[in-house]
Amino acid sequence: MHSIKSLVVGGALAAATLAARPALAANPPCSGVATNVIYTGGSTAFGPVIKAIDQSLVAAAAGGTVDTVVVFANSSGQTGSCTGSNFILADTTPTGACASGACPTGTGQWYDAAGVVQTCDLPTDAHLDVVFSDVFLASCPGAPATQPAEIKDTQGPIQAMLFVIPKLLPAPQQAITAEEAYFVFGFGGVNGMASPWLDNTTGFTHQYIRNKGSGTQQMIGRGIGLPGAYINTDKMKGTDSGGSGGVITGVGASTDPTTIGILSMDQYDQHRDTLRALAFKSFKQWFAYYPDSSPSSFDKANVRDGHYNIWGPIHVFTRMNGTATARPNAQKFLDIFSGATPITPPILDVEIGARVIPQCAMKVKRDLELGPISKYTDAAPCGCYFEQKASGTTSCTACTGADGTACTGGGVCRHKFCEAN
Amino acid sequence: MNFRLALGAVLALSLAPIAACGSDSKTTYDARVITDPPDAQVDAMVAPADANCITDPQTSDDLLNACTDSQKVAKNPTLPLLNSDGTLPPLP
Repeated sequence: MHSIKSLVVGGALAAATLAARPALAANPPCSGVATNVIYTGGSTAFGPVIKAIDQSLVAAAAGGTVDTVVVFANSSGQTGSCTGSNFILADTTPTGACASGACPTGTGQWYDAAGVVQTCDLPTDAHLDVVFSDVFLASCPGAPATQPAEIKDTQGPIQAMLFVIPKLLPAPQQAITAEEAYFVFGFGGVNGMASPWLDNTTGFTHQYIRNKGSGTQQMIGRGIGLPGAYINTDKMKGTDSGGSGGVITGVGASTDPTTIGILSMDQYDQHRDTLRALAFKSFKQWFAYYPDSSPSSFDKANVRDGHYNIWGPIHVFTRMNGTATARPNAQKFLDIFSGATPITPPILDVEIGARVIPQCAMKVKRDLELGPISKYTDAAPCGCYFEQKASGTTSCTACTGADGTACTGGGVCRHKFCEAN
Repeated sequence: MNFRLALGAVLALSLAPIAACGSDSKTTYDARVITDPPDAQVDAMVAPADANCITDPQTSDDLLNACTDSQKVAKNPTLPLLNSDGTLPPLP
């Protein structure tokens, strides 16, 4: 086990060694990072949430031995919602030697208390305790049509998927319609004749997409009318960026006016300096809407009330043995995720800070991938608190009572704001 | 519902504001609309209250078009490959 101090010292020594002899650099084993290492994989779009949880967990050690940390398997070709789901589906021996295709290899990443990413080497049998997915399991290519009993789907905060273009393009587009996107990503650039996205390069290198294993791509594809069979055979037009990071870097650095990419909301919010999100006009919709009430706000108003249509819950998949998780550390994560194991800041604040939307802040819900939406009222709503934390302002009335107590002017006090119920 | 869909189609086919809501009491005007031509200065083209929205959304489609204080963007592009009836053609 390593303490933070030893990790820092070790890191400094490693850096010095790296500078002198770069070819000999090696990563520490992930198993030594903390007493309990929660191995995770799947969607890279979930990165900001993992980062915030890790920062909390590592900071709690106050420089001593870290009790628990979340490591994300991040080797090339082994990330993405459906790629992660395939690992956990294949993991029929979750406490033994890895079955074929059940365990990622290579490196993992975690974050220190300052939020600096650290890299470690995965163990030989790196069973994933938890897989993050932006999509329902059944949406993934080759997955069972119904949720297997041995795979539990714990649905978490809401994630939206966006179309992004370079921030500094002159005369930028403000919006894209579902029909335009159908032609851009279904026919490919110039073939789709949807101006200005007329990429004429071989392989459509200015269209920064992912692959069939990506939840971002699965959701975007469905949101613009591409058939599942088309998405699942990697026919969506563009160049695989390898992960959210590749999209951020590629789109952000491009000066080509045909450039467009696909990215999750939480990742976009952390790179607004180089990227611009497009408003989206869905089928049967009269106008296009940004995820937020304006391009410069962070209130996620249009996701929360259903005006921005490409969204869904983040799915946390864990392999089960009866009613218990097959791997103990999976339960550790679920307890953090549900708030049963408190962290500082609380998980609600972590999610809001990571720019995803807690379900308690939603006003609509859906039960199918990009399916119909309906009105939703959470049993303990937090919309007012979300607005205050996410955007710094809310029109709600403040209250001083305990959660669940009546507000003087009506409503119920929740997180120090009066909610309707 | 058919009326609202028809109204949406009208909006899709012309950039002209809808002048009246007819007999559908769930629809009304809304504000804060910008347009999205492929030119600069779109932010300067903020339109007055000239839009249409659903005041009492019940269905999924209603919710997509419900009245809101959020900024909205009017975009009705000309897409040469779109079928003449407005439907999408098969993928190549």
